[in-house]
Amino acid sequence: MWKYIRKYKLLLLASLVALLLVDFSQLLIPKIIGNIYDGLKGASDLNYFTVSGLKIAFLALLVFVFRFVWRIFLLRMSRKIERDIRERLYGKFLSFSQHFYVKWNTGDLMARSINDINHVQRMFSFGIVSIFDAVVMGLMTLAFMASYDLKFTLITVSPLPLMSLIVLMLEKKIHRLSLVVQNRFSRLSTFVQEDFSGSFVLKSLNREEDEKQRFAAVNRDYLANNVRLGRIQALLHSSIMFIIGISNVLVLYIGGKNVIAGLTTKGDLIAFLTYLNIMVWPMIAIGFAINIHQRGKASLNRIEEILDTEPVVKECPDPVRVEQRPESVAVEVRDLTFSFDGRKNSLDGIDLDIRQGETVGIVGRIGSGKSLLIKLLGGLLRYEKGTIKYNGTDASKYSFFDLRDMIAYVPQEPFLFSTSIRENTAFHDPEASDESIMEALRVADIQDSIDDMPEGLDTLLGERGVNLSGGQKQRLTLARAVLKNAPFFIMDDCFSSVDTDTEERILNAMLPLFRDKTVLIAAHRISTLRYADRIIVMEEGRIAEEGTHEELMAVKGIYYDIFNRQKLEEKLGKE
Amino acid sequence: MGQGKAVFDEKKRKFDVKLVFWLLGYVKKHKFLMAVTVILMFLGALLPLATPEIIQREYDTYIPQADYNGLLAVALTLLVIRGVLFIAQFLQVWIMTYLGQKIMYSLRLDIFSHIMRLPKKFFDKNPIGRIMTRVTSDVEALAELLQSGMGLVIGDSLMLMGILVFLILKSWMLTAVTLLATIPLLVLGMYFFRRQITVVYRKMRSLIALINAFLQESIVGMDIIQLFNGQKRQMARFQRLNGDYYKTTVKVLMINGLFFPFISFLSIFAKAVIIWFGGMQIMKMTLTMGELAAFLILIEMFFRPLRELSQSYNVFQAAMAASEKINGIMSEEESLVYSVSDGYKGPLNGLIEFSHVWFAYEAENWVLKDVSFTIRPGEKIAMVGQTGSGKTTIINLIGRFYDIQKGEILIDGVDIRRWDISSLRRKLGIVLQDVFLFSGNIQENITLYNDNITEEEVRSIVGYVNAEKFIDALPEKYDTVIMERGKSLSVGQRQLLSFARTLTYQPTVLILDEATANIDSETEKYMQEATARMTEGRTSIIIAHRLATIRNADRIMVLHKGSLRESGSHSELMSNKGIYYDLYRLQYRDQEQ
Repeated sequence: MWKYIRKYKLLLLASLVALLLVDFSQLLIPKIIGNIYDGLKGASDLNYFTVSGLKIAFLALLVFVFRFVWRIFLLRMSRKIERDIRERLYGKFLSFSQHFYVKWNTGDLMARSINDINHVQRMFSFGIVSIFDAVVMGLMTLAFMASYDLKFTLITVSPLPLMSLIVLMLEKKIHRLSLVVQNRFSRLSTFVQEDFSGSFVLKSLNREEDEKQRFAAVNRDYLANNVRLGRIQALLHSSIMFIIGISNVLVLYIGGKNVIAGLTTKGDLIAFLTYLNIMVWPMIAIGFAINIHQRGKASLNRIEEILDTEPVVKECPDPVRVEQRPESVAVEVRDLTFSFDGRKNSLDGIDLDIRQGETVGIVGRIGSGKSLLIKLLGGLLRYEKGTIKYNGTDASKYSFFDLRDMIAYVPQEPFLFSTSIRENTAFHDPEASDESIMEALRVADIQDSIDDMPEGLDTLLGERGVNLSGGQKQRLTLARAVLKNAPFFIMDDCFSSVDTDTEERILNAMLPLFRDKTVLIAAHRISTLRYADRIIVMEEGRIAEEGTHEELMAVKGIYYDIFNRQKLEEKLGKE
Repeated sequence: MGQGKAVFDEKKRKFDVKLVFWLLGYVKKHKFLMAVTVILMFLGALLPLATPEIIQREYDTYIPQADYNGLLAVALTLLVIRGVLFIAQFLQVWIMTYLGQKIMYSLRLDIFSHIMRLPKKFFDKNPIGRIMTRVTSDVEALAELLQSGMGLVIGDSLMLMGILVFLILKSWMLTAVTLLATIPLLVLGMYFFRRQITVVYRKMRSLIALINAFLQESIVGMDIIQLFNGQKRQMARFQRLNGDYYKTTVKVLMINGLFFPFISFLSIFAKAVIIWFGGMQIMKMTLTMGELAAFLILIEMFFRPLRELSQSYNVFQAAMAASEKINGIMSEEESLVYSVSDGYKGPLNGLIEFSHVWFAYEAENWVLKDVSFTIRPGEKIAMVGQTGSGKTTIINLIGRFYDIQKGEILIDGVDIRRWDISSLRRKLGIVLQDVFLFSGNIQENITLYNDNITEEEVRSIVGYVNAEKFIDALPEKYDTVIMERGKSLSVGQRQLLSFARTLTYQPTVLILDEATANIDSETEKYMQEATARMTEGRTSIIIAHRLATIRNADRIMVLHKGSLRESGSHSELMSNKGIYYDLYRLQYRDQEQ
């Protein structure tokens, strides 16, 4: 915990000092009130009341100022810590490869970045205040009381040790039950998530009523644990109040006797009672502190689980120096093997050479390993076996920046950010000129649609803006890669939502761009590959066939079949 | 309805009386417990008020008279009061938690079953994540209000009133002066606070929604960010967003930082006023010292609930927003299928007639155009056509998951809209291509948690559909828990499971959407055999992708762009040389070789 606070120890110190002053000022008030009573016996004059009133008013002002000060210092600290942790988490996310994202749920990650951080923030603010307040206020109050009459104080506080016993007993229970409740809540939400996602299955098998019963059971379980937790909290709260009550009784009885016997003044008795009243808050604060602390600790654990995860793909500590981005890239892949989590190999001993300036096409069915090969070439995943070399240097020897700077990538499923069209197109270089952006959009054949939009390049995408069609999205991701204009151009089946005529126009426009570049283009439609110098056919994680269109047709293998099938399909489409 | 967008959170929230009544409807069911709670609250609010009275008596009577018995009586009375208070407070908090949870329980159950009864269309439109929050976090926000908020408001208001009465009884003059000195300041402070805080809270909520969306987008598009070397820029954008959020929270803490200390200032200031004015009255002999002491304690007690009340304002805001959203989903109309009263209950024979059926998911965008056909009981139909030709839609319509716009669907000669939906769907076995698996084990996924289905029945059905072999090969057989929605199982295996699931419910009519994805040849063989067995003697409609299925069909229906274009046996259609002929050659050529 301390490691998060260390940076802000001055803020913490300042706020704790202010808190101390608040507590101290508050404790002076009963003294003044008590003095009035005793002073009254001597000189009973109105001035005495007025002066005391003014003193209290002044203390009220002090309390106001110091309270304000501790609040803004401490809460500011907790908000700063919240900001830091969230930023660190996001930085972690940026450093993780797909290995991580295959395993973790988006929703879970988001929950940890928002909800759990909230609990942690509460721990660092009100959690600290509650503990500090309880301890300082409690001790100070005791000290003030003791300054009046030590013996009487001891008698008064004699029931309090009972409380620490109760707290000790209940604290563990509260911790355990809080965990159970949190756990039951996620079960509830998993249940709901699954049933809503599978609602069609449930409806078609007539299970609505039965699922309601099953949900009721999960719901009831959650309820039962919440009530259990509530009962313990109720017990904690009311026992604390009761123990204070016992002290009250003792003060009144023994104090009354002392006053009659002349051992204590009436004013002291009043002061004592007021102090006891003040003790109520720190005692309640202990209950608070226990709750906030337990929750915060659990959440911090969940966050640290991510913060302590090391990225699988690591950057080379002393990368080769790249003075200038190369004009073109020669790719050399040897015996590349990959699988997710030791399952059956998704890529199995791939050997592939691509010359500088060559255009290579990949075809293959879903699951044949096309996209995986492309992700590996981009350095997004770590492979168990084999090598990938760019211009003779092992890919892992480049810095992340230099490696990715060589690659222009168009994904299979178009992914765009919900920012403006300009920001999306110029994602790798926000400084890009309007002319170059428009040119890229023209090449991707989407300039016209954007010209039609009222705000042109500044049109927002996504929830707050326009929704593009699948084809438009693909073309925009294409424009993004075109603008990057990197020496190694990778396209992963990115024409699936674009009709053949448009595809032809785009490919024609891209041809001059591709002149010196190395191009790898995966496609579903064989017509997309007509400009490829060479085509490889992938099947079950291996390269099954390789050669030019004519060569592959002559082999009469997989490629031949796919080609013929697609020709027929085309015929059918025109019907 | 709540759109779940940051921008829409900006809209002004007004206190909605209808919402309150709707919530009260849930409270009403627990009248007795509610009454008990209110009584306990009364006790909890009134009993502490006796304390100042007792202290005053000790001061003004027993001490001056040196009455030890009186002192003992005072102590014992206080002890009894505290004891009763202990029990009352414990019970009140406990019962309130119980009550709040109980109400949340019924509310949650109602929302859940309501959502389950919403038409399929609703699920097509709304992301699951958003629907989920209605049952989870929104209900939580209400629980917070019911459990702590409501108790606080009722208890504190009672307490405030009670204390006020006591104060006035003690000395109306002193009360008037004290209140005059503080309450106008309080009201003024409250007015400014409310205005300021509402604005920044709203801003905070929209910012957190933005951060949420940004995170989600970054996580989903991480490979693009990395490939385009966008980490630094994304980090900068996130820092800006996160920093804006931080700045807003600082604004909140400045406002709260002024307001809450202000209230505690007022509570101390009130004491100063009391001492000054009370002192004057004591001089005039119109007030006793004991009364002054009691007054001071009472005023301390007066400000505590006031402080709590002002802090529960946030809970109120959140709860109102949540109940608005819940109310929004509750007013979505349930699917009409559940409102058929006294519907036709079958038994289902399997005569299915479509007569001039027109259907569109969205206005005028016809997916089915004037489709008519009859399927006789026991007939085996193969349905073929390209994606988007309307095959799946027909399946959806036979189970009445949507209502048609024009035409008529008759099942066993009865209009589908007059069927009792559970009698119809119970005997309709639908197997989808994309098999949805729940996170239970194999057994549970087959029975769908129906305990009436015995293990033996499951075993025999599993054997029947050829799923025995792969299930027996799993580490824990029927108890193997399915992870990550069954990604560890192959598509074919998942379909076999789905076959078994469907057959355990003994359907009369079987509707099957065959899987298209790569299936290894062994599983493929099993699936074919299973399909053949299952369709034996049943009315069956199969969206066919496999040669064997088509060959074995009594009749093949060819759909094209929403119309039924050809219908007949394989050889009839082949000799027609129409769409089927082309499709067949296109899809099954290599299989035939």
